[in-house]
Amino acid sequence: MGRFLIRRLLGALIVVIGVSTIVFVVLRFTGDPVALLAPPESSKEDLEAYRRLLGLDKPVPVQYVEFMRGLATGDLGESFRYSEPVTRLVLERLPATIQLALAAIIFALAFAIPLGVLAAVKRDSIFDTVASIFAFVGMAMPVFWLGQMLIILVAVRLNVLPTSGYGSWQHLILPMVTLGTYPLAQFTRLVRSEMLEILRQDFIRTAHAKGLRSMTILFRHALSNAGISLVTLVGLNVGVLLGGAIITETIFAWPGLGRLVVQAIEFRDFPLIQGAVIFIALITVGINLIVDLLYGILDPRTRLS
Amino acid sequence: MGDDLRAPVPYQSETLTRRSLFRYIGLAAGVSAAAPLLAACGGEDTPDNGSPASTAETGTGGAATTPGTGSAEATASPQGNDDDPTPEGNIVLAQAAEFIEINPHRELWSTDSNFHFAIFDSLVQRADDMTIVPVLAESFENSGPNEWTFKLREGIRFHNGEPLTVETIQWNVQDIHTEDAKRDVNFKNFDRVEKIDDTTFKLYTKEPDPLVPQRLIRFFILPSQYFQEVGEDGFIEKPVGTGPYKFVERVKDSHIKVTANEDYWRRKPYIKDVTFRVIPDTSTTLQALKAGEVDMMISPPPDQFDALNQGDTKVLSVISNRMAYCQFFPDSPQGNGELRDPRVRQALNYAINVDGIIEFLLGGHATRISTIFPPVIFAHDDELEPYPYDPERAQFLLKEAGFENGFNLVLAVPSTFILPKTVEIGQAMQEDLQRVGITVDLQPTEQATLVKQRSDRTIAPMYLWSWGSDSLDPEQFYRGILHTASPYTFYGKPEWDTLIDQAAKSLDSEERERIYKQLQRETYEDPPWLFMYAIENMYAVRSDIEMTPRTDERVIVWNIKRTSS
Repeated sequence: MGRFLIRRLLGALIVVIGVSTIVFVVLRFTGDPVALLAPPESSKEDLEAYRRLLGLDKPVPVQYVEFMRGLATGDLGESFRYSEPVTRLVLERLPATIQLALAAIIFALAFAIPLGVLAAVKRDSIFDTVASIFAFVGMAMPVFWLGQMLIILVAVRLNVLPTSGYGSWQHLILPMVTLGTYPLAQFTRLVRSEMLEILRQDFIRTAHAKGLRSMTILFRHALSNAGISLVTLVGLNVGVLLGGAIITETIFAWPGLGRLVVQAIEFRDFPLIQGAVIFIALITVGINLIVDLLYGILDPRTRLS
Repeated sequence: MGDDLRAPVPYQSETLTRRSLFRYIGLAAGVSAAAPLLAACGGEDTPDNGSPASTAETGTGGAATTPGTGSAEATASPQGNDDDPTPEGNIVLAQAAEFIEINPHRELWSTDSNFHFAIFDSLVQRADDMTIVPVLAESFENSGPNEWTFKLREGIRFHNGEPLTVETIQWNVQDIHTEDAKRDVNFKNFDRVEKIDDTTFKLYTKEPDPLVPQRLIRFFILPSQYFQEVGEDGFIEKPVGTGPYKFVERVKDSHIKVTANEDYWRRKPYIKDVTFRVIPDTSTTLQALKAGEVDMMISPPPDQFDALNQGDTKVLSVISNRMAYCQFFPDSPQGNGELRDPRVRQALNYAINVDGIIEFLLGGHATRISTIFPPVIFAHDDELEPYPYDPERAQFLLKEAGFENGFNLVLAVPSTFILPKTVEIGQAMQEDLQRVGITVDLQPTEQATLVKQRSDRTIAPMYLWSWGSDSLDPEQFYRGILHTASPYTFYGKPEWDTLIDQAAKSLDSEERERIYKQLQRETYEDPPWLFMYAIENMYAVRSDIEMTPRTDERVIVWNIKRTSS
């Protein structure tokens, strides 16, 4: 277990260094933050002074070494645009993003599991067909469109929830549904197909033969076996959700990391983009580590390997 | 459209309008009034007589009739004493971009200014009709080439009770020159403040500067003792000013709340609670406006004007200090120097049907211009007619320049921008130019990439851009896109540089006007740009909101009323 952890942590370190380096290099080709940030009436001298202030006058390799040195000590630098430490800016936005991503996952699981199980049990019934169509549409629907439709229908026409913003549980519902619909559809399909597979297996028949109640069989024996695939998919989805959150957060004016990144990219705020990407990479790696550890709990066989 | 997520709106320093120059410097009495600056378009509501703008007008008007004193006896009494409302109700203003600088002494971002104007006061401000009125200053005068004498209004206190003194002003001028931070270049000509007595001080400039009053408009006065006590971080946590509103709370990337300052030293604000909400998505903002969650959105999309102009919402508009133009870059590496010949640049100006663009793409919400700034700007030459749409003349000029078979031209347009419909405008231009034999390679490009190409000087020989100046003075236009010292000038001449520098340092408004008119004529004949149109500042508001849209793009919440509050 200890060795496993160390190996995974080393892997995480390589991912972070790799991601940081790629982001650092790519950003340097994409734009000139000084020209974007300096007041428009700046003279050429003003621009040079600004360049020095941001440390962009130094050769790129020197900038890279300084950046990596900072990273090693946990210092991600200061945002060009906000003149505030990147770590602080990111940490301020992180809770909102995590709140939204968690809500979306819980929402997706809360509906996907019963829907998927029922669809599998009542295979080829009307319910199964409807659930399949729903899952198909849910996966095909673009987030920006779904978000706008929900705002128009629920917030403007019915006027029961706020269009956008942050602060109360009412504000959370529409972005949660918007962000959670894709994973909901995905999870439903997965649960259905896994359950169909499992319900055909011998141990289920044995359980029936033993006279166990069908509810017990379904949830205790079948579903817990489907759990492994589901946990994998949830883990993989975290990265997707953080990515999808960029659009959802923009539509719903949700003050999370995604919004921060979009604005940072528009202004080529190099330290902020780097810092945010590193944080997202860390979270993704961290969640996957947790998923790997969960395997051990859900499936005792993997503990040995 | 989502235009506010991007680059700082080119807000520049401030300028004298002819009227305010005479009024405050006292060069003459009985000057003819400048062209009415508030050309409210679209038949929208205009403010009633009790509006602060007209009150300010009366206050300063009285001062202007004191002739020949040579001083700025602009002793406008605190505006609107006869109309002192009890602040009530609330209003929610939507903006697309997050607040950047809470401390107004750092760089200016247009996004932040509406909040700054609520919390802080400056020595002078512009009323809604764009006249400059003294605020924290009781009066001021230009007392020498490099000095301006101010009389400070007595008895003013900051929200925390700290008194406003000459020492406060001294500290503020020192603070804007702090080297460790990004500072607004607008103030770099300010040198120091000398105390004369408890309420009088002199502001010295490094060079003579006719635009001092305009620059002072957004030189917000901060409480020096409090600032030094709590430090900049503490100040950003809880900003304190002398303004009509007090800071309540800020949730980053979400909103800022302020509440009316019940002890405000001049007319109290009409509305009690104000929320500045950050909503980055234009469609969401529109829906929030329809649902009544927000009361105002800036720059609604043009195709929504009709829909917004009925029911619970209405659209307000006014001519802007901002215009659209195309910059020519004759030496562009993406061209073959075709634009080095002035006849070709003239031909391009004749070849494009700008009136058609205004009518069909912008729903008429723009004003065709003959030069590089809108007619509301000081020294605008009203006698100069815009280039007519004349393809035959364009073809003739191209033939004379040796391009009877036309040529290929790269036209870059920002794909999303502060101007609406940039790509459609590019397509219209492409068609017009095809008619005179020029094949356009239209390149819609992300704004940040274009900005990089501008600073690398690799940008296309012709690109669509926008420029504005809240100084309402040609200086910032010519300094920014004609003077060869600017990184954004792509065609200029030493003699034009000399004229621009001369006007920038002249305190004689007649001389300045003469120089600027000369520059307008010369750049018309040898155009560095394709002249296009002045935009309109557009606002969609709930129908019970009363506000005067302002040419300088500011939203001054102190002046906003709500009829149903």
